[in-house]
Amino acid sequence: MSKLYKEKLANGLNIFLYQDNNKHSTQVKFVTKFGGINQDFMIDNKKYHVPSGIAHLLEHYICESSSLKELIQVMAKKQIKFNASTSMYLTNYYFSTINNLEYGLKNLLKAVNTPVFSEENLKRVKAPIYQELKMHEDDIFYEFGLKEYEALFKNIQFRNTGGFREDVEKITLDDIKNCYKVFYNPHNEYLFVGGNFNKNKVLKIIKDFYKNFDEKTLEGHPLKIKESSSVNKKEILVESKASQEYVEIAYKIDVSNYSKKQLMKLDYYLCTFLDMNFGITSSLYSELVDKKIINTSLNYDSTFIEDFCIITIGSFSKKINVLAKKIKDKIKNPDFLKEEFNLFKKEDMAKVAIRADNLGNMIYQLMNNVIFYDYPYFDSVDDFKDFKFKEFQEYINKLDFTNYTTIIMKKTSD
Amino acid sequence: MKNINIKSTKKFQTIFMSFVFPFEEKEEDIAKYCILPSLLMYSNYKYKTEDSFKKAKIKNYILNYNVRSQIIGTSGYFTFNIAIPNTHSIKELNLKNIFSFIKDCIYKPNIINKGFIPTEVKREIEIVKLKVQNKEKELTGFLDLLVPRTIDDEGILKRSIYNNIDQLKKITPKNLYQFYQKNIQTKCPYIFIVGDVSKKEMTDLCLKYFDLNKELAIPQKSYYHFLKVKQEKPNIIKLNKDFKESAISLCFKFENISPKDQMNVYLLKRILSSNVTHLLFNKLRTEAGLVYSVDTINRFRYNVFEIVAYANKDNLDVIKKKVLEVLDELKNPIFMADLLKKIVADEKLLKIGEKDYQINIMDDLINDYFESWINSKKQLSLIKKIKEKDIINLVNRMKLDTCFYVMEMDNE
Repeated sequence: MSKLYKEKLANGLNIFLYQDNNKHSTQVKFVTKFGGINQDFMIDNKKYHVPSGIAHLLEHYICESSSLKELIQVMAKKQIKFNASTSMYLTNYYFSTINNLEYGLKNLLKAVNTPVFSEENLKRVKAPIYQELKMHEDDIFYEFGLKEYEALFKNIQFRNTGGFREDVEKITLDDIKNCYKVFYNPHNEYLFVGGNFNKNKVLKIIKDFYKNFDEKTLEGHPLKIKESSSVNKKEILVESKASQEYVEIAYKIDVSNYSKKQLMKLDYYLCTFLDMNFGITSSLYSELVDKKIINTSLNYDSTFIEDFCIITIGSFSKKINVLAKKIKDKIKNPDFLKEEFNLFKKEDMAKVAIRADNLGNMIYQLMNNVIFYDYPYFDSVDDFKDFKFKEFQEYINKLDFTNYTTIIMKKTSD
Repeated sequence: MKNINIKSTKKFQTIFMSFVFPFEEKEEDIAKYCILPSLLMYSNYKYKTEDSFKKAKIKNYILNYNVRSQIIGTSGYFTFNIAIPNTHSIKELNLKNIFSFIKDCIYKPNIINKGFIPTEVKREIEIVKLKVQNKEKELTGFLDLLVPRTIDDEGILKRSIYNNIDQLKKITPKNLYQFYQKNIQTKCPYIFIVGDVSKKEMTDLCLKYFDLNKELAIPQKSYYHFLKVKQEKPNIIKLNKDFKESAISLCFKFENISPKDQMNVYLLKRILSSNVTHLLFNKLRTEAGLVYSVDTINRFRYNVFEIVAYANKDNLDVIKKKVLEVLDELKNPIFMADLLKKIVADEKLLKIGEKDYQINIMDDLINDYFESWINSKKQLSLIKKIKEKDIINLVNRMKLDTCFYVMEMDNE
C-alpha cells in the first residue's frame, strides 16, 4: 500500500512522506532551492552578487564543516549511504538506509542547520573543489556547454554549476554566510522521505529537531536577472578534441507569461514534439540517416531557465551545415501526427504504471513536480487524460522559434 | 524445462525477461560480437525500419528492449532483454503478441542476400569507430585503455574492440550474418523471467514460441584468466599528455591467486573505497586535500586491481606514497578486524537493499544458473566466514605491477 502525506511546518519546511512498505529501504532527500544560477540576491534592501560556483561550494561546506564535521563519515558509522549534489537550481542532500532512518535524519538536519563558518574551514573545503572542477575540463563537451550558455544569455551569467576556479578562489566567508542566510531557510527547503518507515515517528523526529532551533525569518530573497529575449550571439564556434564535428541549434523562447500548470503541460508536450520530429520515428531522422548526414541519433532536450524555455537539437556530423539547416527547416515546418501522439501517450502511461518499482525515480519525480511546478503529487495514469492532441498543437504553435543560436564544435587541429 | 527459469514475485509491477545465448569467445570475433547486437536491436524482418520497429514495441507495451554481448573471462553471452508491465498494471497487455515479437527479433532479423543490410552494417561500424576515438580523448577513457594495453602481455585483458579496431575492416554483412546464424539463429536460448507472473502460463508460452529442438549452446564457463605476476620491481610509466588534469594509476596483481580469492578481493576493494571505511578517501582527501576523487577498480577475473587518483601532477608521487602506506596499515590485525566488522555489517544491509531492485533478482537468477558470479545470499555467507588473516594474507600477496603517471602539459 503506497501513500503520500504532505505537511508544511510552522517554520516553513515542506515535508513529503511517501510510504511504500513493499520496500526494504528508505530514501531521504533534503533539498534547498539554491543552485548554480543563484548568484544575485538581496538582504536588507542591499543587492549582492556572488562569484560562480558558490552553491556547490556551500554544499561541500555543509558536508565537511558543520558541527558534525565530516557528515559522510558520521553517516557511514551506521551504514548510511549519504551524498550531496548541486544543480542549476537545487542543492540536494540525500541518503538511503535500511534500519537507521532516525540516526540519518537527525544528523542530516543537524548538519544543514549548524554550519561552522571559519576561514580555515573554507580554505580546506576549497582545495578538492579545484580538482573537481579540473576533472570536468577534459570532457569533450565541456567548452561546448560553456559557450552554449554564453551564446544564449546576455545577462544571466550562469555557465556551469561548479563555477570557475578563479571565481571559487574569490569566494569569501561573508559570501557563503550571506548565501546560507538567504537560501538555507526552511521556507526555501523541502524534505522528502520515501520507502518503508513509520510516518508518525518520522514526523515526530523532524518536529522535535526543529523545536531546538529558533524559527528563522526570511532574511533575504534571490533576485531575478532581467534577461534579454534575444540570444547573445547568433553563432559561436568551439574547438574540441572530439573526433568529429558537432552542431547544435539552441532555441530561446520566452515563457514568462505561462502559469506553473501551463509550464508542466508544455514540458510534456515538448517532449512529445521533439520525439515526433527528431526522434527515431521521425521522418527527419530517417532522411538524415539515409543521406548519411548523421550516423548516431539526434540529441535533443528542453529545459526551463528563468523565464525561458531552452530547446537544443544537435548531433555529430560530417556535414554540419546541412544538418543545421535541416533542423531549422523542420522546426519551421514540423509534423503533428495524431497517431504518434497517442502512441507516445500510451508508452508514457505504461511507464507511469510501473514507476513505483523504483523508489528513487518516484521521489525524484515528486521532487520535480513539487519544486518546479507547485504540483505536490505523483504523475498518475489519469493525468494523461488531460493531454489532448488539439491542445498539443496549440501549445507548440504558440512557441516563437525565431530566436536561436548555432553552436559549432570544430575539431582541434592536431 | 531445464533452460526455463522463472522467479515469480508479486512485489514488482514490471516483468523482466532475458533470453541468453552463450557463445565461444574468440579473439578473431571481437568486432563481430561488438557490432552484432546493434543489428538486432532496432529492426527485424517484419519491422524493417527503426521507426516501424519502435512503434511496434510501444504497441506491445515493451518499455525496454536491448541486445547485449557480454564477455565474462573468456566466455561469451548474447542476451536479449525486455521489460514490460505486468497484466495487472496494463489490462490489455497481450503476452502472446510479446512472445511473438521477441521471437521475431531473435530469429528473423532484417536481411538481404544472406547478409545483414550493408548500409546498417557500415553505419554501426562508423558509430563504433567514433566511440573508440572519443574515448581516447578523455583522461578516464585514456587510462581505461592504457592499463590493459600495457600490463597485459598475455593478450587477454586487451581483447576488446578498443584494441582491435582493425577487425572492423574485415566485417562484411555476410560474415556477420554467418556469425549470427552460428551463435543465435541455430540455437535455443536459456530463458529467465522475473516478475508477477504465473509460472505455468510463462512456461507454456516459452514452449509454444521457442523451438526446443534447436541446439542449446553449452556455456564455456571459463570465467577466469589470471595474469601472472612477473617482475620483482614495478614498471614506472610516465606520460605527458594533452589533458587538463593528471592522474596516477597503481596496478597490482596478486601472487598465487585462485577463484577462491574472489570474495577476499571484493572485500579489499570495499575496505579501501567503500563509504563505511573511506580509507583512501580519508588519507588522500580528508587528511591531505590531495585529490577530489580516488577509486579502486577490481578486475579480479584477470588478476588486476587498480587504485586510481586524479590530482595535480605535482602531487602524484605523494599520492603513491600515501596509497602504499594505506596498504601497509592493512596488515595490522586489530585494525583489519575493525574494518572487516564494519564492512560485514554494511554488506548485510546492502544485500537487503538490493532486493528492492528487480534487476538484482534477475542478475542472481542468471549468474546462479551459469555459475558466473556468486548470488547475494551465498556472497553474504562467504563474507561472514572471512577473517582478518585472510585479507592480510591477500594484501601480503599484492604486488605493484605497474605505476602509470599521466601528466597534463604545462600551460605556457
